[in-house]
Amino acid sequence: MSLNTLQLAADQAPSRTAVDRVERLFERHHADVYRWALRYTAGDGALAEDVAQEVFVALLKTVDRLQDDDDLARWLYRVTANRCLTVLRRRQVRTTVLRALRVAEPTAHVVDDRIAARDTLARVFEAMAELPPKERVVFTMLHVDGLRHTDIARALGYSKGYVSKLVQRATQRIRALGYEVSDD
Amino acid sequence: MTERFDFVSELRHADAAIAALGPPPRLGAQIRARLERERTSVTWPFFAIPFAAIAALFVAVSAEPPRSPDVARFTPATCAPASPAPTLSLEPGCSVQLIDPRMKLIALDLTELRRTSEGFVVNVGRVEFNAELTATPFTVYVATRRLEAIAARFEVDGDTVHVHAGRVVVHDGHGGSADLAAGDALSWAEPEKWSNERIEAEVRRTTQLRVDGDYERAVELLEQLLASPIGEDRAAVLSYERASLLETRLGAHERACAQFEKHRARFGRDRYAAAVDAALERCP
Repeated sequence: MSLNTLQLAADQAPSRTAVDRVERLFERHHADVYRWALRYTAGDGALAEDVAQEVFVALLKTVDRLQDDDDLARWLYRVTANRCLTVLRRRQVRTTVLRALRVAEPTAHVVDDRIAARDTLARVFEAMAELPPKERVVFTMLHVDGLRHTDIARALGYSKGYVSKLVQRATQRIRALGYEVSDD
Repeated sequence: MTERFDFVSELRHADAAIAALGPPPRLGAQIRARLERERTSVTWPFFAIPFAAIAALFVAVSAEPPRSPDVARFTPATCAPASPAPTLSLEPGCSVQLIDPRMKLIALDLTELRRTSEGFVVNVGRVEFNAELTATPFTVYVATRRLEAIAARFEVDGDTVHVHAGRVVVHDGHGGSADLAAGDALSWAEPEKWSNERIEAEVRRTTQLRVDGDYERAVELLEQLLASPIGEDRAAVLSYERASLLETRLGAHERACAQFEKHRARFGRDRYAAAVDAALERCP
């Protein structure tokens, strides 16, 4: 092992504090990160898992530079969205909606709920898969997370005008698929 | 007239359903394993370096002029017979008695070795292994070669092995082997070790293939990397990653088991040992 390697290790290896912090954040947020990724990938479970992994790896490398855990939650939200946009640019989205529902043997009383949920998910993801990735992310941030256009623009590094345009296009596409889109 | 669903409420309903279901149970374990791999793959984990090596490192750094700043050394005076350190950096003349009292090694030049469950990996240097008095097979890895010694005394000098007594079988990693007896020597042309930049570029390619969902090609590329001169620490990371991909992404359990077996044979009780043990218990 060279001295340079050792110095590199000392400089780049995350501190124990950083590792502990990432572990704590991982426990608190990995389900959210996966859920966000699943939305943006239109239900592609394998891709969402990969994105979730990449996000926490990125966090491990960045955590020392982030101040408090609220910052980190926002960071995770933003990075998950951007990471999804990056991978979706390179990959044809495959909708594997039923994977999201592949859980341990259901008990009788939840079967109906699960079938209903599966139908909803399948319908929603099918429609979301019709949207280009940017529109999908922006539309979800607006309507599910309740972000303002300004906040979305900041999270994704777009202008507010561009976000408005993406929302408008997404809305038109969804309506063209036969859905109503409420303006709340 | 067809029913027109409100998409926003459907979308919120779907999101709530996903939240209620939660992530797949395996995801947590996968991310933890990945974080551990990433945390340790930058380089050898700093905290794993024994105190003596760190102390020696600082001595080497502060000495003027540095004799050889590349190696944190154990001098003959500090060669602990039963050092628990996973990596040993030895000055010439440093002799280490192995757990089996009939086996020992002597550094003939500045030498760095790493222990595995079966024997040693020679990272750099010139060293004599003496396992002459025992019939226990003894394995030494030298770059891409695996040496199996049986009741042998032999010397490893870079990409050459000299057998002084007993028998040593040299495996080339591609199915070929040479059986050496006392008095025999074998040299091989070891490919030049790749630069860090080249290794990083290849590793990035595997990451991209993973992201693209092209796990089969990622596995192929990892196999090529494992047969390339990339250094043992890095190889351990990639070896475990390949086995994990085969198991969790491709569901290729037989191939995964074979890779876990290879990992255990090549890297012994390394940082993945517990995970490899658990994986092999799942194998038929």
